[in-house]
Amino acid sequence: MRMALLSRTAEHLYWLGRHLERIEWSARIVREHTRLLVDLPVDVESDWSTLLSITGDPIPSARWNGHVPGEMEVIHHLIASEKNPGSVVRTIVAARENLRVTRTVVPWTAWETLNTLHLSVRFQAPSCLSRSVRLEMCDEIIESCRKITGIVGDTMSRDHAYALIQMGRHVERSDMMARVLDVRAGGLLVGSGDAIAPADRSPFEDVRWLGVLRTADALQMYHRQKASSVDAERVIDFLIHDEAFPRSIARCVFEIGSALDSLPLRDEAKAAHHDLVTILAQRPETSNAIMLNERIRQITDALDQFHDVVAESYFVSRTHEIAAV
Amino acid sequence: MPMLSGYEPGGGYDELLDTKLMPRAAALPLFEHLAQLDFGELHARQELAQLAIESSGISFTVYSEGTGIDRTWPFDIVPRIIDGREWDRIEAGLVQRLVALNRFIADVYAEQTCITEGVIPPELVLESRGYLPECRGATPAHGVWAHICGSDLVRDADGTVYVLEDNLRVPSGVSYMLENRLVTKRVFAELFADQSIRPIDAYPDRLLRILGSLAPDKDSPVIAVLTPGVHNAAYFEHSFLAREMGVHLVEGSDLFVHDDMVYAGTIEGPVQVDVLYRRVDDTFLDPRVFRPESVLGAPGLIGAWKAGNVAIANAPGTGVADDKAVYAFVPDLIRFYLDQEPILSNVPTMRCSVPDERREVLERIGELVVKPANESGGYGITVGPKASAEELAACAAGIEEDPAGWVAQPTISLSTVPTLCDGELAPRHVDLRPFTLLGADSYVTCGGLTRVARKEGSLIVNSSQGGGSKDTWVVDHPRDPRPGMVDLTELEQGALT
Repeated sequence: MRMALLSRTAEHLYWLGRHLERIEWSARIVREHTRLLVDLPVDVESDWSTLLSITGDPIPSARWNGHVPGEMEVIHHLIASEKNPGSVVRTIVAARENLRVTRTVVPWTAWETLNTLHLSVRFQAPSCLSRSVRLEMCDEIIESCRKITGIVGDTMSRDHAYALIQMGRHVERSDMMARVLDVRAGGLLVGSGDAIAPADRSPFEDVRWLGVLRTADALQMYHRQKASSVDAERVIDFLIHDEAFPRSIARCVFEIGSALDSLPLRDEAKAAHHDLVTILAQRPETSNAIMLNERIRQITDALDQFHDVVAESYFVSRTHEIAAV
Repeated sequence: MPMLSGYEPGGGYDELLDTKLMPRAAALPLFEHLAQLDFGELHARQELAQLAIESSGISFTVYSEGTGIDRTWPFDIVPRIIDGREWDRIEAGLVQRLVALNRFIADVYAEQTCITEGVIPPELVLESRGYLPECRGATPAHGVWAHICGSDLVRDADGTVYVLEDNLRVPSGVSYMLENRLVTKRVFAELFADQSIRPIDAYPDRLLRILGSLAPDKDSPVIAVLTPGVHNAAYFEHSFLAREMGVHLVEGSDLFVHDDMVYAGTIEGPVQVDVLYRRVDDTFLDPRVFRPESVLGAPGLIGAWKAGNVAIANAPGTGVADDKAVYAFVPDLIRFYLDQEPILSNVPTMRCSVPDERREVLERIGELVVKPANESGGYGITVGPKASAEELAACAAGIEEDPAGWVAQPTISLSTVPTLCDGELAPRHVDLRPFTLLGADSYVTCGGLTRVARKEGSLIVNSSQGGGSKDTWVVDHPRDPRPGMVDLTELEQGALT
């Protein structure tokens, strides 16, 4: 007999998807920023602290005693810190707990892979201040995450459990994409008014836009799709609206919808997803930082709303339905 | 044999070697194989095993000073080997014992003939912590209360196998038994090809069948493993068994009871649960009946169970039969209920509740093992010959204070198995925990979990106190008839008619 999924297990599966995606993004963000430094001259401000705003940490805060944190502090905070609940180490622990609880439904080899990654990162994290160790570790994290994605995608039945992992993954993916755009791209656009003339642009701007695309592993597909050089407006449009690229927000919202369709129908979740689709169908102008920031906030607010509705619809035991049994 | 050149026997019975340090017949193929390896190779394999265990996350949790530490399962690659013919006798003894214990439990919660007929003193039953009067009147399917039993067996210096404990509440360790075999197959793959080691991997399927048989009215009953949660020491095992059987793994908070029916909250709405394999202590199962503060069970669960709407394995109240004071009476119970002689021996046990026996215990305390009547996990045990004068005095004071709380047994010099220690093979003491299942039919694991004390001379094998484990092989000789096979030569002679 097919087993219905426990509400508690469902919640862990959803969070497993979110945490795995989060781990991979964190590693890619750190890897890209570390690589970018190699291309930038030493006197260009390397703004490590912007990484903190991508991961949602308010800066500057009391934590940094008023000063702007540098590479060592930021990297420690993002990767190795046991105090930061969003650090890679802590997120791996969280994903491992999700997987521990869902071991009965997720393929066993996924647990082995995550467990091995956990041991390895725990061991290496204290040395991640060294750039070469850090890059190697990021590669390993990304590869492990992809291995788990592959195991899940290739060996898991397309049932509710799978749908919940996929949903968590794509909610987190849209959210991370939005944050990267907000901070990275927003930092490259002028505060208000028209876009600046090409002649006034910093010579390193192209490098930075390439960095934005690389952070999303989007460079090659961008070139194919847009058949053009790297251009602010096109990059933003591609990463938000492209319907074919699996990391664009529009594509993620489509995937979220597919996952939702294979779960038991909940009208309120369906409605919240419809709101997301409607927002993505709009194409407001985003040529300056304020406009882009507003657009991103509109999307992330709708994502947060969707998350809350999913939690209420699926993760709470619906004891009131007992009468209908 | 070079590998055994420095081997100093532990003084007792060695499971793999005879008194002349020659391999016993069943262990011969292992030693022939080991003779081809050097210690470097042996170590490489031990490391391979440890790596396999770490990456599978086979762990257990140890609690000390309020915090839980996840420890990797300690494993030694040299297996413990039991002759198939000897095992057949042990297997029969284990089933006999579990059947009798179940008759006893059913009797205790019904007519109590064992008391009225004078087989066992009433206070030992009725004042036992494991006796739950709330269970009276329940009628579990097949009359079976304890479906899963993890017995602890030990072997004394003369080779006699004794039952040391019957664990009838929430015995654990079977997942480690299964994992140990998987690891050994990776490490000594070649050894499995050329001899007949009885397979053990049917256990989850047999458990599933037994659990399914507890809801005889349902075609496809909904079965769930009830765990206290991720912080429980045996959570690894709970999720392992749920996964292997393909059943739900639930926590108390997933369950609720309505009209004496038990439901689990799922994303498709409530689903009725027919069978619970509970790994939660019975007094935590239902805050309305037992401990009111418990959040590990579900309010109303016991009512649903007594109404016959959910089967619970093991049933609540089975602890009455694995109390160490009741243990002393098990041979009598077997004779009383089954009219048979016990196949397996009991360790002679002195009850401190009986004045004469208490006096003897206090006189001989330095040579006895004193155990609390109602504890598990090796806690509270005083091993006379190893204890200091202060420890012995404290132990004696404890007995005087609460005589019924203690029993004492002669020290059994546990048998040893060669174990890889600091670069060489050395004898380490072991016990054995086979698992016996009883429902519509019965099943005994081929072998069980061998636990090994890791310190020289130590008798403490509990994993919570630093013990390790070994794979256990029940080996049949090629010339032996396989279990269940009819000997054709006997047929021809007309011996079987």
